[in-house]
Amino acid sequence: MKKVAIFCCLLFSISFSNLQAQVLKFDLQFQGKSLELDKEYILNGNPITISKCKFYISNIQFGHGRKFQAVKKMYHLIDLEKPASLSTPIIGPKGYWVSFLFDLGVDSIRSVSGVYGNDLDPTNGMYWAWQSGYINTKIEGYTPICPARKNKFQFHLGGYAYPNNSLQKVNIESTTLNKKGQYVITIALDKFFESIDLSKEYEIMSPSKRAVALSKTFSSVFQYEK
Amino acid sequence: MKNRRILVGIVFGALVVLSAFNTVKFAKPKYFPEPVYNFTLNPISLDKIELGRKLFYDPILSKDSSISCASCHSPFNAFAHTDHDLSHGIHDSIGTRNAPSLVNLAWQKSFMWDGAINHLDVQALAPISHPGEMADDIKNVAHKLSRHQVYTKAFSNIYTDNKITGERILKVMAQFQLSLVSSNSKYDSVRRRQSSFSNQELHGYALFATHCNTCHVEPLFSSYEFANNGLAIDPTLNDYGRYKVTKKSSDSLLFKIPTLRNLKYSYPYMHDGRFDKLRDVLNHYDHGIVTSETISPILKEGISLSSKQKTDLIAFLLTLNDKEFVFNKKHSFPSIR
Repeated sequence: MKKVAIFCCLLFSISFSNLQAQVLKFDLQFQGKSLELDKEYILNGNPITISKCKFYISNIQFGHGRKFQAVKKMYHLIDLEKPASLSTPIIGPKGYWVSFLFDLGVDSIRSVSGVYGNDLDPTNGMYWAWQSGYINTKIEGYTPICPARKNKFQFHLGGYAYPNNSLQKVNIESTTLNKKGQYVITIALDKFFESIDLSKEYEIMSPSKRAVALSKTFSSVFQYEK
Repeated sequence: MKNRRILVGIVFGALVVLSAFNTVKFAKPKYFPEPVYNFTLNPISLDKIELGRKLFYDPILSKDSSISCASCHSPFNAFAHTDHDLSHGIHDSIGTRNAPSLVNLAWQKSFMWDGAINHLDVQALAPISHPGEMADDIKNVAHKLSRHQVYTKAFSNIYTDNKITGERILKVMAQFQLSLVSSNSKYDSVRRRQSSFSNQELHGYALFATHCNTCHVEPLFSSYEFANNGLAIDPTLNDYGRYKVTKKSSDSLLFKIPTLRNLKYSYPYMHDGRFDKLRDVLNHYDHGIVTSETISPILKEGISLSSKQKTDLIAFLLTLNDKEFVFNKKHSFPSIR
């Protein structure tokens, strides 16, 4: 029995000798500090509360110069309500890497291939029931300037098919490991809201041009924490 | 110690053999095309089909445990909804379309009359979540099932970690629906050279080949594409079909072409159930076509049929009824265990 275990360990270590476990951490921020859900902030003179922020990260690649190496294809659901989901252990190639390339969202092939489990399980509330496809990013909250019922704004950004494919490529350059051995990527959510007039635009719940545009805006507020 | 190991080995071996038996190959009738469904991602097993069947007939999937899948997809109607032009769900809410027949789903590329659903696995999410159908959500359904011993037991028989997840619920339900293969109509027995058409049916078959087979392609009797078949828009519904999904004007008034199998059981016809009788349908094609920009090119002039031709065509269409499928005990309400 022992021999079998040793053999397995050996096999395991050989096959993974070029890989190492690393941690990719997402730090959602509002006005320079880690975002707290359900806390009232003041943005451009108006109160604003974020009640939900969830999004998919997939197809992560490590980069060095022009060289990119893919991490085993995985889909991560980052959910601010679940602190554990903000740190993603990734098995990647050994060495120091200076950039990351990943998808914000779920790719079209996965979107048309049936049901999946774990982070992609439809019980996570990130799958549209009435028309197939994942919600790539879900951001909800409240502000008195929003004319919707209960002043609630809801951005459910998704869509995998042309011309409303909302998936975005995110390229994070010049990262380094922090003291805790993590690569930290910050997401300045206040900057995302600065580009939207919540008194005019507050509900997106299907694939559309605006869903693509807002996905692009959201992807632009991802950056390496300096 | 040694004996115990041997015993463990035998038990393990037996389990492997048993599970191999339990996994079954999807039986494709020889003259059917290759299925569209990718079985490698959801290998068929008899246990999963049976669990999917249990879920299909269980109103637990709806918010107040009043509506099951079978409420609108009754086995005796070839898994369609009879007696109602528009199907109804929770609290007697009336929907906007007629529930289609669930048959030969492994060959379908998209689901719903407008193709809004792109895969059989995720199809059940739509009725489960629709406020006028089952008005629940898959997370709550998983939670409800995990509180019922019947289901915790059934799932743990299949999945060793006992978890009832959205993925598993949907995959076993897809397996039951994939098992709904209709291939034992008279037409099928003629294809298998086990019987032959009457003269009238042969005349009807010839008419079918000339006028219908472009869209209702045999042996599935649908291409599963979308088409505008010239139905006047119902101002109480204003249903523009596929346009709702793609927002393309070229898709306005296009609906999925339904199969012609089991028409005897699956009436009324069309996406809004507007025709009760097959003769009404043929009269529509004969002189009821409303032309518009997106009308199917082959229907522009209508399909001119004499009264006798209509009778012959109906005689052929009735050979597509599969009584064995409709009354198959394997598909019907599961026995309570």
